[in-house]
Amino acid sequence: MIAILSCSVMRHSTPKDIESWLAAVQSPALGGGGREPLFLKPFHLATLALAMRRHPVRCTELPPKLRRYAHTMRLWDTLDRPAPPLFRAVRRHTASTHAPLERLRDERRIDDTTDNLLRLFKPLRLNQATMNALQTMLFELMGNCFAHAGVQDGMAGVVCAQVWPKGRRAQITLADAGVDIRASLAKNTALSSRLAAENSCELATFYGVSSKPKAGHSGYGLTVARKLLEQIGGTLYIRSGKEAFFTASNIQHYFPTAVSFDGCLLVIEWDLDRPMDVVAVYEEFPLPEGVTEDDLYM
Amino acid sequence: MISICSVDIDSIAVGFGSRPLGVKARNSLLHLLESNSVLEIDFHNRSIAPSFADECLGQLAARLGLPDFKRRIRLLNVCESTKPLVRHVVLRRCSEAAAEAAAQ
Repeated sequence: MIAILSCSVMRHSTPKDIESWLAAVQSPALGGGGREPLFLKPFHLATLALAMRRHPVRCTELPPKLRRYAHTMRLWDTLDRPAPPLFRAVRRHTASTHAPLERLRDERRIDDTTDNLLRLFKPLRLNQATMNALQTMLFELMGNCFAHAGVQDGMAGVVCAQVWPKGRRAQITLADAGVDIRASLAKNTALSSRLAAENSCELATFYGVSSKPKAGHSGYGLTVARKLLEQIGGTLYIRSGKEAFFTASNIQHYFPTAVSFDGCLLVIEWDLDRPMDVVAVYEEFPLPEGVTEDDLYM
Repeated sequence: MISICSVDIDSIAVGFGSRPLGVKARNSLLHLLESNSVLEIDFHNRSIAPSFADECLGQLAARLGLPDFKRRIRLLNVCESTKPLVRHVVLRRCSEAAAEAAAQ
């Protein structure tokens, strides 16, 4: 009964869910009979993939339900490891509800990776504006992974998603093991005083905040993501180092965390019946002082 | 004599989602501007990412200056959802370039 419920109904993810998992996934107990979550979601697998990249011995020691979910989300393929023999014959029909883990290897393939993820949403009858908004958000957030990942092994990060059509909910998770947001923003000395006073994960969501303004970067990714999720009362969880920022149903929280996460984790969750509009986000971007709008189009 | 070159955006960009692809597209446009007075770029109503727009068009406008950008670059079939973005990146980059020039 629990298994059936876990497939069809999705409870909203909370900071507590994510934090307790991040503590568990870094613990040796995970592979040795530690408690597994009741309801598995993409964020569990994305962070597990990064943890297993660092600790290869845990491959075959996952708790049973987590092992099945790992198989569905193609964890072994993502890690370039053979799947445990027990699972080779088992293939669940999940193509319409799960976008398996995908490694972010090559920034020039962002378009293809985004297309793969968007394929999941096409049968769900989202309007075109929402599809455009999702595409834009994914383009930018994946671009951030490559910009900050400090890739050494051809894996800038991972992305995966799942939809719950009956509950009309979706979750997309991106995770990288790169530079912490705080360390990254610290490269921009103009942000020093704000960094000393503010939560870095929230700071990174403000328009124009970037670690590399002189290198042409503008910090669009998290700004667009936050504004889109706030438009629809969705959830955005940003986790980096020992800091977190969480917006859900238009209530924001930021807080220090007990466990450190090396890199950046983004968990995006929303109600599929709420349409997104990226044009409204663009129209909120301020024009520079003294500049008037010109018609640039024929 | 004004020479006008028609540019299909698909011929200079294999995707519209990332900053590196925007850089590559901008370099192609700069190359075409060496031998043509005006470029008419057809976007086929494709949706483009802010980072791509910023690198391809924002940085191009900063390099040319807004008057020259408006005189030499014509943007065709830009989808309605992307127009405010293009306007933003072009005006922002031109404003930054003008401020930098004034400071020097």
